[in-house]
Amino acid sequence: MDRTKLIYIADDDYSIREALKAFLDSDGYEVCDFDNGDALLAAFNKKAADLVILDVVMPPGSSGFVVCRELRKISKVPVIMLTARDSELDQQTAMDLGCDYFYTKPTSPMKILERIKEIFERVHKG
Amino acid sequence: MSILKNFLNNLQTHVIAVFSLLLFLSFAAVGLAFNLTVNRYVTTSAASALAEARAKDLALPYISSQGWVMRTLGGDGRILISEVNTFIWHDDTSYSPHREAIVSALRTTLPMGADYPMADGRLRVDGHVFFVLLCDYDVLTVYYLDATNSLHFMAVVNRLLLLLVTLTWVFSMIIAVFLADSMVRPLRLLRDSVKKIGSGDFSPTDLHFRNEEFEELNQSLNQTARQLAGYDNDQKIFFQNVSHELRTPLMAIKSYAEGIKHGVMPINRSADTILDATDRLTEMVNDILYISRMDSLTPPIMENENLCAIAKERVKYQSQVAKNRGIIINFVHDDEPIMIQCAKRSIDRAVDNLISNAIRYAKQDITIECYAIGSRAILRVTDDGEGFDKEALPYVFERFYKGKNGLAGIGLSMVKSIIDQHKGIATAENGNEKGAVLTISLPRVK
Repeated sequence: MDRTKLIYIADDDYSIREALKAFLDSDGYEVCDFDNGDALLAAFNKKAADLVILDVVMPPGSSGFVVCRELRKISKVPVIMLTARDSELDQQTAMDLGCDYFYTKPTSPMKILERIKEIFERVHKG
Repeated sequence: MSILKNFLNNLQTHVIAVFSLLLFLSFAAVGLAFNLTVNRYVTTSAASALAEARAKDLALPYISSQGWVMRTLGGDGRILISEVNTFIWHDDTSYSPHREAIVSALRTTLPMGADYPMADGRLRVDGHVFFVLLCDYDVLTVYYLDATNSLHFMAVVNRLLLLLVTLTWVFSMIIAVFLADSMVRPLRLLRDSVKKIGSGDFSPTDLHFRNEEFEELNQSLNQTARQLAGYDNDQKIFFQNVSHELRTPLMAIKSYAEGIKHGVMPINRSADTILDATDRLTEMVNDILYISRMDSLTPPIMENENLCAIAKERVKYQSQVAKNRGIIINFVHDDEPIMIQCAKRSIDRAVDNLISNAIRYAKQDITIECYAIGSRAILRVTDDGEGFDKEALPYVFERFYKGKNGLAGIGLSMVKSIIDQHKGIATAENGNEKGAVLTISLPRVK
């Protein structure tokens, strides 16, 4: 039996964290949420997650871009970026830093959930 | 017609036309004055010579024989030591060159009759020009002076003058073209700079002018472009931030609505969150609209108002919201009115924002104090929440400052803008034990 997948979420907005956590919980994932990227990195260093969802702007700590870059130094964990910044430059930056998928807020949690399922299926087959 | 109109409206054409016209008129005036002066000189000289000759003639001895009058003259009819010739009209024996022609010409001009007026003028006969003086005393005597050479000389001088004026005018037109170009070219370059700025390109120009005024104008334009670039950048950042901050509550609304739809989130809690996010959005939109209007508003009309009365009114307005969240508002104020000069609607908004900010972060209690210290009117809003992060304290009045729970807004930024507008001071600090303290201080009106 496959172990429960662990997903880390970092977003400085409580309600968004809570909503995503509820959706992921309902699909049987184990979720840890953080209100800043540095806390997520610290946790990841202790225990790696199977997937990471990152906001980009999380003041006053590191941005999602910095966290993604640091994660890529130590892991190939799938990263989904979720941000309220919609410029093409941000999207390109995220991809260049190793992000796998980029969503602009507001986006449907169901879409994110489906994407996560696809990722894990691919990983399982791969 | 429109080509002519465009031509006439052109600055360069104006400069050339005015400059060359002025020069032409100047030279023409000089030429005309010269011409008249010389002409007058020649005429006056001739008149003097004729008059002098007549006087000399009258002084000459007359020899009368049988009714004829004879005078002692030079062989060619000239009055002695004079350029003036003379002859007696009816005396065919008195010789003078051109006599026949002169007499013939005079006959056609003089009225018939015994009395000949003292007449003088010019006669053109035999290819010569004569100044003529008729004197009718005992006998009709004609004095005449050949002015052909003088007048010919004057004609030559006039022609030379005309040539000089024409050449000078042509030369001045050429100078005018260069002069106009030197004046208009910088204006064209500056006009192109302005067009560039107008099209949104705020990069500085590479222009430099030797003329001080044009260079000053160029520097002013560059400075304006730099300022506009700054404003443009600020505006872009502002809209990026607005976009960012509006999307976050929208994501919350969408997520919780989907949560309800798919049954993954409790309905009541989700509904509360949606309502809360909607309120935040509404507040933010109102604040953004207000701020966008603030810059373009004409300075508000200031009137004397009681700060305590304003605060009391806003507390009453916010009391239901506070009650819904289980927050108690304590309002403490001086009994005496504390008068300030203000735009009431702006101060209403500032106080509303302070109170709603406190309601958002308070756990149970908010205290609002309104009092006077010396020449200052003070309004202090204290909550019992977690207070500000120390690192964040310097930034709480900046636009889109995010509170501890990730909520951002421009409410406190607007408070500062309004208080600054009223020449007051807005401050933020943490309470002695807990919570945040926001204070506004305004000049009192006595």
